Amino acid sequence: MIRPTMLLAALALLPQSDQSTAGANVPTAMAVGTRAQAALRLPAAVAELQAKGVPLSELNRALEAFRSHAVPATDAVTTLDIERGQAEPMKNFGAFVQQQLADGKRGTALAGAIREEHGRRKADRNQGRKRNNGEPL
Amino acid sequence: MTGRHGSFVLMALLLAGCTGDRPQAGAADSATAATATAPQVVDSTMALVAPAAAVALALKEQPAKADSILAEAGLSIEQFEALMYRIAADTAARRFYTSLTGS
Repeated sequence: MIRPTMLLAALALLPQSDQSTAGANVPTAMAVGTRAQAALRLPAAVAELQAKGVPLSELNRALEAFRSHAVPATDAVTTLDIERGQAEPMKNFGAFVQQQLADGKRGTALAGAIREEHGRRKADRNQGRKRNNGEPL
Repeated sequence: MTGRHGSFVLMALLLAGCTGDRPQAGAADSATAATATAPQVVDSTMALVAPAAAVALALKEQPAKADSILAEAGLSIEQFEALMYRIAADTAARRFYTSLTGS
């Protein structure tokens, strides 16, 4: 027969072990390694965007926002890579990133917001060209 | 800590130490504030970049040991990311980092 004290002890242990693994925000070894490797990419990613015509002031504004919000480097590099992949750099890129982070967007939501904004601005440009007989405004 | 990790961190500490002990004679002798601040800017850039570059070289060498490499350097992942954000935002620091790490 199981002693009541043993049963109580076992039950008391169960929720604690669940909390320690699922509830705590402890980065796994994989996550740390992935974030570290992404962080190593930051200087090159910034240099690439600068070479593509994104003003340094805008890049610095974005980087400061990433830093002040303690955004994982994986998110930052993804954001910078999305921007690099666009045909035209986003005007006020740093301010846009800053606003998205202030709104709490991270990860896929942040990446989605950058893509959506590019899509919206591209549609606006195309609309403007139509109104201007096909010429850029 | 492996010997290789140790050598990277030691290199960083030596580089950082070299920058911190520069005599202040240059500042005292200089006629203008501009000439006095130039070495300090170099010092602060080196102090920022050298430890990060040492960690970066170790991480490139042994990517699977990120935890132990950062721990040996006394950095959490958040601190290392903050350091890399600062380096990426500073053109001079970025160039110096690239020259040290080759990337």
